[in-house]
Amino acid sequence: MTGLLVTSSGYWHPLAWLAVMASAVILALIIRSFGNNRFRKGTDQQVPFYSGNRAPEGRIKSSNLYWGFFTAMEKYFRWLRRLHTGIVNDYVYWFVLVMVIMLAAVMLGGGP
Amino acid sequence: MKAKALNRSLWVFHVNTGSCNGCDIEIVAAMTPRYDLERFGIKLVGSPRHADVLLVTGPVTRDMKKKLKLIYDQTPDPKVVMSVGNCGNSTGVFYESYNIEGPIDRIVPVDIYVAGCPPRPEAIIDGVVKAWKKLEEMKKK
Repeated sequence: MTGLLVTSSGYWHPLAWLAVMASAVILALIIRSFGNNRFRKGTDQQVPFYSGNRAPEGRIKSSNLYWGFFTAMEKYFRWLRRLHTGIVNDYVYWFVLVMVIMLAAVMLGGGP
Repeated sequence: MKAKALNRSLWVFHVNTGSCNGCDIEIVAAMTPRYDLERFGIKLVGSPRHADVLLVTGPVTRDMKKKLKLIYDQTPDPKVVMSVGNCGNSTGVFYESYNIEGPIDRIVPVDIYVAGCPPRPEAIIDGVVKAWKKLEEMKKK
């Protein structure tokens, strides 16, 4: 289980992997400890700074990495969502329809 | 100031609550090579959430009252508020103006007052040093 795996492009060992992960976690905790811990929980000290204004509701969070895609392709996603009804019959219907189209393409287009 | 007290850099956030920019220009002058506040580790920061000192200039206009309160609340404790210039200290030439909510200490508690219209950079630096001392005392408590 804990044997050394040697390949042409290097080696892999679970203990070495664990050591790297542990080092990364320790480094992250050290960097985190340099942070400002003077904020009081549950107060405005934890509210993002928005030039002295209250941050508007529904603002785009940094966690939403795909906002650009969703906004640019909104019409397409809206159409896709309509197709995802959650009803198995609908999905089978799409499956059969696509199969028919593919068979027709093969039969009409001809083989090699 | 004893070197022991300087356990880290002092970060300052500047708020303009209706200043004519005279005081703001003097604050900028304090950062220039002639006075070079940054050699002491004193640095202007872009968010009150990173700051130890709030450096406020100007009388507080109606529009800025709420904003100043929120900025004050967003600054982590312990914090020191510095009022820079006569307008911030007493509303100055804007005394009893229809659009002024009052001097800064009517809106948020002020620890250090720097007088002048505008105050010279030396006076601002002296105020920051006093703020630093006060902050150290607050930390000890």
